[in-house]
Amino acid sequence: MTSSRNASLTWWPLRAPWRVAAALWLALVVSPAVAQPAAGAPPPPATYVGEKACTNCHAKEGQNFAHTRHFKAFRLNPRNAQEQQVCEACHGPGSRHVQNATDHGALIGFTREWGTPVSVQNNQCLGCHQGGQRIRWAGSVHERVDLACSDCHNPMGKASATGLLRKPSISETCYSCHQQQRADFRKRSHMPLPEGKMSCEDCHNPHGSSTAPLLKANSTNELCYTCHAEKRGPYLWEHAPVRENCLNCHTPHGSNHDKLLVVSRPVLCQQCHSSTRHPNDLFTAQQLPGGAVENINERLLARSCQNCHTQIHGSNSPNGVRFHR
Amino acid sequence: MPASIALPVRGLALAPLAAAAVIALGLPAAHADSALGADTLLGNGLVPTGQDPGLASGDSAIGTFRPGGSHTPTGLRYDNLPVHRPLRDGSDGWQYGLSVEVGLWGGSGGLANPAFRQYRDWNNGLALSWFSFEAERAADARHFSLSGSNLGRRDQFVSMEYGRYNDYSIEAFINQIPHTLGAGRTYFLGGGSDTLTLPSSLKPGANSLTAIEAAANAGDGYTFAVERHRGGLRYEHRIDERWSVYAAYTVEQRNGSRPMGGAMFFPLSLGGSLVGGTSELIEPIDQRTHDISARLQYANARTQFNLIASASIFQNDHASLTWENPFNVGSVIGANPYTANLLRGQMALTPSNQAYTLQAELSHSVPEWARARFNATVSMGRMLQNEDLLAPSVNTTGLGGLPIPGASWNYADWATTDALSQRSANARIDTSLVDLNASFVPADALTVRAKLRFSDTRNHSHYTAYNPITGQYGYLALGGAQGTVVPFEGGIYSPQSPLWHYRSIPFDGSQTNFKLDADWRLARLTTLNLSYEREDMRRRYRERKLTHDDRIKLGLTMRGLGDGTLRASYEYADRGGSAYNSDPYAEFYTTSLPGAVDPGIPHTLEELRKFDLADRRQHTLNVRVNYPVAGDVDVGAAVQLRRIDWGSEFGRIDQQRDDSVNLDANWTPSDGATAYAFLSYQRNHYAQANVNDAPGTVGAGNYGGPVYLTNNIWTADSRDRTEVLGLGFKKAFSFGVADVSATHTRSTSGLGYAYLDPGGALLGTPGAAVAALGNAFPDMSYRINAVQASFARRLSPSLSLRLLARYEEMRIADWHYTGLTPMLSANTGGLLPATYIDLGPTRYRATLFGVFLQYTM
Repeated sequence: MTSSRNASLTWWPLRAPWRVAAALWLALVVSPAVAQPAAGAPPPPATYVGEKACTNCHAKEGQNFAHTRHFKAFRLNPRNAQEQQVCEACHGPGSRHVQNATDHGALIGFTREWGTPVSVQNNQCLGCHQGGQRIRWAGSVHERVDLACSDCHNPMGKASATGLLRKPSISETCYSCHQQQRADFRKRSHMPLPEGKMSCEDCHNPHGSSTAPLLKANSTNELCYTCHAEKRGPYLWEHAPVRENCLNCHTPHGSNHDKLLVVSRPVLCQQCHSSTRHPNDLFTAQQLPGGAVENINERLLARSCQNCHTQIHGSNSPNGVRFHR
Repeated sequence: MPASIALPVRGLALAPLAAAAVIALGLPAAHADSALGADTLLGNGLVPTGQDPGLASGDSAIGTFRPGGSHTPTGLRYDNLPVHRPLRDGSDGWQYGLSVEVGLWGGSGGLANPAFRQYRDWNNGLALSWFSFEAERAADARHFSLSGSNLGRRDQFVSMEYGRYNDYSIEAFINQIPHTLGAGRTYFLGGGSDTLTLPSSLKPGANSLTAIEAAANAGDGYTFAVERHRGGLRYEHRIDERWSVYAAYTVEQRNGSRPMGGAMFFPLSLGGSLVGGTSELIEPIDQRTHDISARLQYANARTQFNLIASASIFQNDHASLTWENPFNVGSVIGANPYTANLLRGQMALTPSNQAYTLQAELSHSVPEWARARFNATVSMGRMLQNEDLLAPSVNTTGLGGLPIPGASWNYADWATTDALSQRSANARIDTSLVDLNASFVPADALTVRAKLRFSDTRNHSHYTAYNPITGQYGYLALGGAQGTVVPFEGGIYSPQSPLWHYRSIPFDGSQTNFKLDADWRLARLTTLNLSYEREDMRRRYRERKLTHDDRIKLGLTMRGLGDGTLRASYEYADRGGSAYNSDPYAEFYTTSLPGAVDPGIPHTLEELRKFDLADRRQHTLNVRVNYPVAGDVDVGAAVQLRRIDWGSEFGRIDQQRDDSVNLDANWTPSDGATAYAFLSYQRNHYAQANVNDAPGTVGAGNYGGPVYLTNNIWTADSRDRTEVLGLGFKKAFSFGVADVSATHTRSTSGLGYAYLDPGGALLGTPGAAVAALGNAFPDMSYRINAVQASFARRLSPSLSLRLLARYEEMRIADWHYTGLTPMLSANTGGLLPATYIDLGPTRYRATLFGVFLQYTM
């Protein structure tokens, strides 16, 4: 039973790196099909034209926008001169757009069709929304992959209950790119996200965080304790992989196994435990009810190892050394 | 204005809300912060998006001059916007809107099945499926909203917000989350309390297995469920252009019960008879968590600052669970008069605890220095637990153990807190974090970043198992049961029993991350990312003092892939570290005591590597494509391939594979019509190896040594496969709106095993005659199909009718539960001394119909 570190060298992308490189090169020379602002001499600076000038032409936008929090804030209680401009608070001064509505450089647009660079769009949003829950946006993984605020949000209408999202809910917005998690949450063991009792944002901050998976806490365990404070301890007797990282045993989005475990018990526990006596016994199908002449091994049934090692997350009993109590 | 809302903790009383019962159009539910706290969505199975189900869908054009719809910069089509009804004029400048939907649910089939009810309440009967009320006054920008669903049901929610736009808001909510776990039968009385007693037909510690079986089969039906009742208040205030504050308080009450195991020694076959006994117990859940958080926030064009303080207080109303033991556990040496004294068992339940965190975050940009930006986060936290400890024994009279010199004890000497080395836990863990980031843009197309992150965990918890009354180190293993069945295995240190874990291990350590990365904009819409990160983890009291993980990641973003976007990345991660010590725990065992003689039993297989510390090389490839194939169709594909090569012979071995392929498509064929489809396929594979020890041997713990014989090796393979398919179609006709959706999920989990010598792998004795072991467990499988159809028709400007039908079927096979009964007969005959309450998930088929009437104003 030897390890197979060399298996990595047989993995197909590494056998033929030139194929991958050639495909990338061909792809990179594909010219972008996205509209670009017109080039030429710098135009004169634009001036504000007022909301009425916008809605004279963009009546539908005005109708939808009227139900949003931005509209209500800008119209009913603007805090500064920029907010007083309503439409132009986000899109920029509109005089040049009025003169030439096909000039995509005359206004800040937030759709792919319009073509304003993502950095310009995002800076416009961050002009008001920087800091707070978005203090880690710069350098976050979403920012680095050129995700625009308007990829997730549609401030022009109220499609969702909160957050002015593009889709009716937070999770559906995330599923646009993170389809794997949509499938994970449909597995046998999952947290109540499809049932509407939580969303991706209960655990993740899509605007950036100090952790790689964009967690809303400084570590996985601190995040899990938000809803599972009963696991926080500290306990009299600790279980090392539990204290270090809940994801040593659990997978958070969904599992085909009980309790969001990564693999079945008892083999999960046997990936780490080989002390003498029963932890390193091979358990077999013949030890199940109706098996061959072997005795039924209750270590396989129901909660398996946790039938006896009940307090597996840690024990506060003086007798809880092995988590029996 | 509506009456104020009461927010009690238990049995949330909603009478004031019901009386107000104003209803409105799709309204904002209380919105949580994307950085702090949970409850970011208030919804339920009937209203999973938390929005008014009666909102009509608008046409495909969200813009006047783009009748075919628009796309996001990535290429994702913007959804049709719902049509929100205008507010009506009220008095004193207020405008308002309301809607209420009531309905009647009826269904048949597996509505009572715990799996069907896991997180939902679709019981037959009336339902206030939706209500909302919205009011605002333009003159002073004040607004009020109230919304909710399924009042009085287990998945109800209510949200309220009052405030002034762009100034402040006060939000309140309640949210109930049901969690049905399982069902079965139990002979225990007192389920849900902290004391479980036996029925009159059974006597503690003195029953035949036949009598226990009869009681188990005659037991009352019992359902395990935990109800989470959450409530909260949030306040947000924009003080001025720069400063704002956010504060939140949430309380969660959890009530119910969960199954848990209660062992009085495991069932052990001795020459045809069985000793031991385990009872599945009912853990009472009466817990509360109070969470308080506050953030002071400053932002200007260059500098942003957050100061965050949070506190979390968890309270458990039950410190312990005591149960009457039905089993006469026997002993390995025959009759034992002391087994009759093993009347009860006692479990210490999860202790009440507290946690506090203070965090400061700073971001400052210096455009003059190559558009530099600096981020810093500093955080300190503390977790505390100081519950009173239980006495080591709940049994108070007589002797325990066996009538052999040195193998017994007097329960009275252990049934008091005077038998403890300390009366309370006095456990504390302190955490700290410093996270520094800097980024520069030395050229228009180039951004470089550096990150340094240091986090530290210090565990100040210490406990020594020592009885001052008897002067003995140790504890009572299994509450005394272990030493009663097997001599000198009571958990108490003695020359005949020298090897016990007697001191707690304060696991802690530190982590340092250093990262460099660069983004190079190759073209206007194409960016290449390259990063290198080094993560060092230092651990006290683990098998490896130091692990280091080197990660290199290459990423490509092409937003000009025709009309779509490609995002791809490849990451290589290599973990190694310091020497692996398979037994770093000697100081915590009684063999470290003066005069102790080490019996020579190895701690574990020396070559086994715990996977969280083991060497491994990991490759992860992610590719995501979003592409609008036509003006009204966009498709997405996401592929993730992960390979982990484990550098160990035992533990996780060989190559772990995790693959996921996902496709989805969204289509808007015409105004008022949308369709979607998604398909996902996943497969996962783990391999592991272990070695059974030769029973009763001592010596070195290496593979091939006297204890871990080469013939005793075995391996296991875990393979999962999952397929998910979803389809949906919604169309507005002249006579109403039809909405149909279907999902299909199918998973198969296989667990195979292999061995060199069946006797060696199973019993530890090579060559032993055993029955055929086979090579795999029956596959576990899970299938769930759900079809839902609804039809809504407007009857009048204020009234609409919605018909809803749902069919759902689930099939599951899990060998952990197949054939499980409250008490099993052993395959060799006789009864297995183990009782079960939760007999596992079962299949169901459920059909539901709902008729809903919505009134809007």
